[in-house]
Amino acid sequence: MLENSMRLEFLAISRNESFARVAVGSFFSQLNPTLEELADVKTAISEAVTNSIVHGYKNKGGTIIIECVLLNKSIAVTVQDYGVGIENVEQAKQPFFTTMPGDERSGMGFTVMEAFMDGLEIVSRPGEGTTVSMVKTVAENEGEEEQACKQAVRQDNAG
Amino acid sequence: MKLNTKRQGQVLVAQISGELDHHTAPALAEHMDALLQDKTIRVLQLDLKNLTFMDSSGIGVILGRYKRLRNRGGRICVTNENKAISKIFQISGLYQVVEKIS
Repeated sequence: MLENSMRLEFLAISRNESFARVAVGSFFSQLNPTLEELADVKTAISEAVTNSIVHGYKNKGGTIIIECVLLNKSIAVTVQDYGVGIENVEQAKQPFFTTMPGDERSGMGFTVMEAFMDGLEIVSRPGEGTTVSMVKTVAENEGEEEQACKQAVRQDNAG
Repeated sequence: MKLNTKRQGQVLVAQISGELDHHTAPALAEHMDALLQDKTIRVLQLDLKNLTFMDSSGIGVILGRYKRLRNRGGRICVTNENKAISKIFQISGLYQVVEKIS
């Protein structure tokens, strides 16, 4: 049984979006995800972090905290900010809904998180901040690296 | 994120490399808009062979360029996107407005 956790705190600036993806992706890799599962998690993290930067802090900076827990075959992630919060969470979750249409925001952030992860919860208090919680469970199959190794060993044995 | 372009008649082939997210999107939008000032460009072909990551910020950039081109009868097509990026295109409905070419 795998049990692990981490907590990351960083400035809410756009150049840290890539850092957050890599950090969480790297932590998640301990569960031997497929490339697709890994991409799913990194994309969802990117959406949540971007929301905190753009909407939570209106691009004016702040702090984002990411916490991850690994348990068996699942990762549970929270992305938290102390920004303006969300007035109407149900409305925010609607595809294409955005409070910043002029900025070429597609309004798809929560839709992507919901589609790519196995669970999504949003807790927000206007004026206090927002916490997005997500879960991803890796499939029972072994990861692609293990498959590739086993394939290579089979080929060696056959030759 | 890098943008390399090549003109083929009415088509502007735009090869986007690296990662397209909220951090890199504005520079891409600006660069593309400058190129699209040339009204003889009718088709914007996005070659995403070397695009390793895209999130919904990329959707926003592409939709923005689509609207501009559509206003003058142009269109966008996309090629060589990887599985993860294809998934983003699919769930956002981007394939309804951007033609996929193999």
